[in-house]
Amino acid sequence: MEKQKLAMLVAALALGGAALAPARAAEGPVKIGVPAPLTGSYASAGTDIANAAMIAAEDINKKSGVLGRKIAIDTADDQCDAQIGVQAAEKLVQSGDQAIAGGYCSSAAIPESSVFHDHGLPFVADASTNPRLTEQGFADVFRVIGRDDEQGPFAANFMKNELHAKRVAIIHDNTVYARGLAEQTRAALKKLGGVDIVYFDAITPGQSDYTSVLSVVKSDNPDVIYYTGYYSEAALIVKEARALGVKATLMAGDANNDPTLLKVAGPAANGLIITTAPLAQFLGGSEVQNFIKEYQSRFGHEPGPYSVYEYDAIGVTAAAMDRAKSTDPQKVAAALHQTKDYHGITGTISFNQQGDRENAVYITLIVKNDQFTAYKALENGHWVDVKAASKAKAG
Amino acid sequence: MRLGAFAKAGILGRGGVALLLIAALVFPLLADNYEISVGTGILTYAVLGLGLNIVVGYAGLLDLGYAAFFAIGAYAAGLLTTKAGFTYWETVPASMLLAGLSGIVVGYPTLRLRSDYLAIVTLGFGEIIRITATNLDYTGGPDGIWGIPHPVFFGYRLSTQRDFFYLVLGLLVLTLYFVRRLAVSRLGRAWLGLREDEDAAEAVGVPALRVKLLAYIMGALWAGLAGGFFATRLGVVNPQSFTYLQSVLILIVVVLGGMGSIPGVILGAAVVVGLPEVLRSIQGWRMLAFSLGLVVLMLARPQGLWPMRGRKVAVPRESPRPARSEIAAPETGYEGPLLEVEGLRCSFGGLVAVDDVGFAVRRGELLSIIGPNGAGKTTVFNAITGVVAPERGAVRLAGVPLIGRAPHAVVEAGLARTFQGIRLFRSLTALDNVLIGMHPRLAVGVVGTLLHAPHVKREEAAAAATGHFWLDFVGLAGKAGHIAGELPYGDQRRLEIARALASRPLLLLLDEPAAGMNPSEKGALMRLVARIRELGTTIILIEHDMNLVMRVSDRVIVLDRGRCIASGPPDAVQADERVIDAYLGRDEAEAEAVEAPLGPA
Repeated sequence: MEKQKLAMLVAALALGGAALAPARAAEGPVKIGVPAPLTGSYASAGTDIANAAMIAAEDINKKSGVLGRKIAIDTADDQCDAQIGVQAAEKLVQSGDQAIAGGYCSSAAIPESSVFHDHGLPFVADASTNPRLTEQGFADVFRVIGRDDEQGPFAANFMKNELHAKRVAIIHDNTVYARGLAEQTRAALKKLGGVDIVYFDAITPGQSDYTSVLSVVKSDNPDVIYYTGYYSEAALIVKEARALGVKATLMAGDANNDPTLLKVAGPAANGLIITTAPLAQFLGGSEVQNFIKEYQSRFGHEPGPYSVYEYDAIGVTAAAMDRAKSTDPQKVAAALHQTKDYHGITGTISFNQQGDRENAVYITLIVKNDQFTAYKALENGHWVDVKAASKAKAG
Repeated sequence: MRLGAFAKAGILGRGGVALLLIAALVFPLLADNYEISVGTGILTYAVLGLGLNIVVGYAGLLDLGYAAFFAIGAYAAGLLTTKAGFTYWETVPASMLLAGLSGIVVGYPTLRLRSDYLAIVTLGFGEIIRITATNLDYTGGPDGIWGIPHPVFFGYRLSTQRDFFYLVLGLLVLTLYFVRRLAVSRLGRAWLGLREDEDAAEAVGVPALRVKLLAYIMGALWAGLAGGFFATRLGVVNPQSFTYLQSVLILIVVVLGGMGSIPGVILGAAVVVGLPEVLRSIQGWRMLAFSLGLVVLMLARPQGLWPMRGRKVAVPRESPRPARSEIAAPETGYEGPLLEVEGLRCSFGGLVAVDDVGFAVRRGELLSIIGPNGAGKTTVFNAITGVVAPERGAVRLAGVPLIGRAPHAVVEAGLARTFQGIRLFRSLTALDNVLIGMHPRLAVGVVGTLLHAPHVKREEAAAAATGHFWLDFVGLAGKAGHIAGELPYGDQRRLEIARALASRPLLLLLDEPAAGMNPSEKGALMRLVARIRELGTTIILIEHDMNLVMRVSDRVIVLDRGRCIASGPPDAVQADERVIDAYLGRDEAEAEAVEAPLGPA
């Protein structure tokens, strides 16, 4: 009896909630929510994303806005934490956002995506590369960046077909992202065949000396060492490996195209190869150059790795609103699914059935003269120099 | 503000708690989804904080890996629902049980360590669980577990923030109900005793290892509960959520709120989860502001926002008069001497502190051990009570061998002691000190406490009455509710005796009870000793005050440099040349006169 009463109470409360749902304004600016880690270990990446969203909104507003209305960016700090991410997501929903474009860590972006889904808001992820994000069966989740399970095969292909490696060592750091990339690379190498994985293990992030691990790796005599973790450890590993006289080609995953790595590792970083989605400065086109200029003049430093993707995430969302002739979340989600050959600064964007970007691009960078330089890209199954990039840089 | 009110539960009494509960039930009707999700976060951390509070706040064990139990609960719920088809409700006991079992696994081998080492080991345990989860394919590796279903409640599928708020509120109420039970139980007092002074707790009969292990298990249960909720709420469990930082955050909840204080922990959770949300408007600076806020709060209130207070003790108007069978030393039926010590030898790193000491004490006798400082008197006590292991020798109490028993087991056998330097549980009330002394004589276990069975209530009431009796017995009747550490020196001495008597010992060892007492206090002590003997309790006394020794003792033995140099009735010992030489002293001339014939000792 009591339990039934309680159940009824709960049900009544739930109904009450529907009545209280925030009204999404049909006038005033169109609000796009940007969840990102603005504090904590990943604050620099998160701030970069928020900054890029701001520039994207201003660029759109300078033209004609969306449906004659301005875009306003609404950021919320998620600290890359699942629970805080849910709170941040609810905060964005509550403040009446019409769509969401952002996110950084997959571990926060995925719980956030389910909040947005519950409220029927479309979510365009700019940096979350975990395959699971778009595999939850949500029709309103999209991403403008590649997936981890595309980077792994890309890295494996590069090792075998371009570097002609016979012996590969893979090191990760036991974080969700790094281990995922490490495993996908290992799986892809096994599939390609002809490459021995001589070492596969984790280091403990946050230490100041990885010499002992590297000594073991060195004794395995690899041709390539691929580190899939983050840049602060990678910088030490690169430096210490060279000090130990490791001759292997050093490679690292896409969390390492960070200027800090160059500062810490110094000249030892020269020759380091990084697999990554292209950074702003390695993308061709005048829009990118304008974006970089604008970013630098506004914030006093170069844009970080995910800024261009956030720029496109905002752009592709705004374009969908224009096509839908509405900011109604469901109509916008439907229009996002129709996105075909959208001309973004990271290239043309089309979404597949799942909401993933078709033909997501990866390239390799190499550190030359103490800076990141575009290196090779895969075109039609062949490895070619990334020419556009160096040209763009010079221009 | 709502949260501030929430934390007042501790002093509001029943009506206040009911009001707060109603406020919490109404809150989701008035708040928006965002506020509700923050509220849910606060309540989740409150459950976690209450669990960790048992380990850190009550038992005083620093645990830096508490998130591991949280992870185990979350993974258990995730795996059981996605792989074995359990419903959320079925996973609740499973999550708690699994977390509790892992409490044993981490606790059993590590609890022998003292706090700082324990902190390192628990830190390691936390990381081991996280890294194991990252590397096991079964737990989904780094991706974790996905698609954990939401709970269904009588056909209604819980999915909104509001639903989860009510669910976690229910879990918090459940947690509060049991945690409060534990806090005021026999076990809860034993935890507090351990926290205050582990050696003293063990010496008055608290089995330290067992009780610590129970703290780990009881603490882990609630992390398991919170973990299961976390899993079903977010639908996702991955190792990233259970880092070292998570453990630290839960620890901050406890320390900031006030260690050992239930309303404090809830308030702590409100600050730890709520403050960063309040600070959202300052964007990137908010965690800096939050950290500064924590520092300021800790400086302003080092004991926590809502520090633990001693339980209010109502002093009974009339002193309880328990039956003699409740207080007198039990009969043993053993015919021989009550205590037999044979050939005892103790040495510390080559220094022989006690060498071949042997004596026997008859039932009802009062034996004094005297001798100069460093003669080995306290070492004899320590060897008898299991604090130090003698190299050789035998100790039997009523025929039962004591050597090899842990101190608490010696107390169980019927032997209680006081300490040369007072070792009370200083921040507990006088009554709680005595009640901890009764630990070995009480029977209620964990299950009884959690279920609050009628026999538990009866035992608690009887124990409190007996506790008041012992306080009255030593002359502290009106001071039951006073904090032990704040009592005057003489009262502290008496309280220590009351605590020892509370275990109804066959034999009581008093280590310099008169030290630092003034003559009138000494007189009262002598009368107290006489009354203790009326209970049929046998006493061994270490004392320097010869006047006292001569008056109360039936027999005296004299130790010097670890050896027994004399034994007999007080007068005979007082007249013994060797005793005078070694301890009592004499005039210069006399000393020279006897030195030659006796030669060097």
